[in-house]
Amino acid sequence: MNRIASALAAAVFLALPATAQHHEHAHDHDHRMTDMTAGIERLSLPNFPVTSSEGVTAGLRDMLPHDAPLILSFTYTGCESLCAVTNAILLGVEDDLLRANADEVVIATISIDPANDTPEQLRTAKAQIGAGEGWLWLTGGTSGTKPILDTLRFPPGAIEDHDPIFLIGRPCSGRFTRVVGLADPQDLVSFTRDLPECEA
Amino acid sequence: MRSLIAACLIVAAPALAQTEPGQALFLQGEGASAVLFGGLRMSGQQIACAGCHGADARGDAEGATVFPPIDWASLRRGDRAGGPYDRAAFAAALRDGLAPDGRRLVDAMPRYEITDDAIDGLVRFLQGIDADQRRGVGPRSIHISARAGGDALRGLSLAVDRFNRDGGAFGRSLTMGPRETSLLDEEDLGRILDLRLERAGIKPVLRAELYPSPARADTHPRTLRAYFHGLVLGQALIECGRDVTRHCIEDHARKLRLSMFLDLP
Repeated sequence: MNRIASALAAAVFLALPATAQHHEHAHDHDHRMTDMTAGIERLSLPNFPVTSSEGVTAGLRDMLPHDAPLILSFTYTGCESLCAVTNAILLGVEDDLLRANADEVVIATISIDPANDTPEQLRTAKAQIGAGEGWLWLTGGTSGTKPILDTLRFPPGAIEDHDPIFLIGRPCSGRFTRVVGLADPQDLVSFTRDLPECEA
Repeated sequence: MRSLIAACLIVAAPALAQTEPGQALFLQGEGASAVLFGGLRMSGQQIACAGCHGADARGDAEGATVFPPIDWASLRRGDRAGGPYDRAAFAAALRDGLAPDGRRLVDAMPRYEITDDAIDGLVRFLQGIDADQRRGVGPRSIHISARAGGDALRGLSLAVDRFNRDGGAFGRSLTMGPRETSLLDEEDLGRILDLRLERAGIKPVLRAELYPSPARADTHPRTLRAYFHGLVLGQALIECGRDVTRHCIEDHARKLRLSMFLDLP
C-alpha cells in the first residue's frame, strides 16, 4: 500500500484532536492495514497497590515510570488463545526497542485473573514466555484488580472474552493511546516515539 | 458427614495414550512453527489450533475476534465465509493466510511453517474429529461409561437415573455401557473435577438435598464421588444444548459453579 493510502488509513484509525501529534507509521516494509483501532484519550494511572512477579508491592503509578513512555497490556496466564499472540507482539516490541536502543520505554502487563495469577504464577509465565527482566508483570490481587481495570476502562466481562488492548503514553502527560486489537510490534513502537515531553 | 472421598484421595493416573501427529499438532501445536506479522516467530506450541478453535474444532470467540469452526465438514461447507476449502486451499490458509476466495485471513491467525506430511495428518485428524467428539451421541440418547466398575458404576447409575427421571436434556436421555463407544467415562470427569477441588483446597461434601436416593448411611465414598461426577455431567449437558461434544462437556465441568452441587464454606 503506498504512503498516501497508508496515511489515510492511519487517519481513519486514529481519532486525533486537532492539536495532537500525528503518528507517522514509518516502516521499511509495505504498511498493511492491521485489524486494530487506535485513539488518544485522557487517562491517569491509579495508584492502587499491585504486586510484581518478583514479589514487590507498591502503588501501580509508583511502580511505573513517570516520564518515560509506557506500554501497558493485559493478560491471564490460563489463556490459550489471543494472549499468546499479544505476548509474542510484546516480545517483538522488546526486540525492536533493543535494536533501537530505546531503553527508556517500559512494558508492563497486568493480570485480569487475580484468583489464579498469583505473583509466583506470573513469574512462571513470564519465564516461560522469555520476557526480558525489564518487562513488568503485575497483579492487583483479588480486591485491587477490579478498581484498577475500571480506572483503565478495561471492559468488564468474562475473562476469556476480551479484545487485546494496549495503552501507550507517558503517565505524567495524563494521555494514552488506546490500541484495541492485534497490532504489529512496529506500530506499538512507533506510538512510543514522538510523545511530547511532560510539562515541568 | 457425607464426604465424597476417603481420607486418602485416590486420583486416577492419566492413561498414557498414543498420540497421532495430526492430533498432537492440533491440540499441542507440535510439529509446526508459527509466524505472525510477517516476522514475529512463535513455536507451534505457543499457538496450537485447539487454543483458539476449541479442542473439538467447533470454534470460539474472544471479544471481537471470531475463531470459526475448522472440523473438516465445516471447512468444506459451500456457504462458508471465504469459500469452501479443499486440501490445497487449507494448505494456503495455513502457510499464506489466504481464504479460498483469495482474501487475507485476520492477523490473529498465524502463518504456519508446516510440512505437507504434517498438513495431511492434520486434515485426517480434522476429518475424524467430529465423529470422535460426538462418539456416543445419538438422536435420543447419550452413551456414557464408568470403566472403574463397582461402586463407581453404582454412583454414576444413580446420577443417570436422576437425570432421566428429571426428563433428560434436549430430547436425550443417558444410557450406560462400555467405554469403547461412550462419549465420556466417569473417570474423565473425575480427573477434571479432582483437579479443581485440589486447586481450590475443597473437600467435597454433597449438598443434602442432592443426596442420592435411596439414601444410605453406608453409601461408599466412591459411589458418592461418581454420583457427583454424574450430576456435573447432567448439568453440562443442559448447558451444551443440542450440540453436544466431549469438549463442551469437559469445558463446562471446568467452569460450572461447584456450589451447585457441593456444600462450600
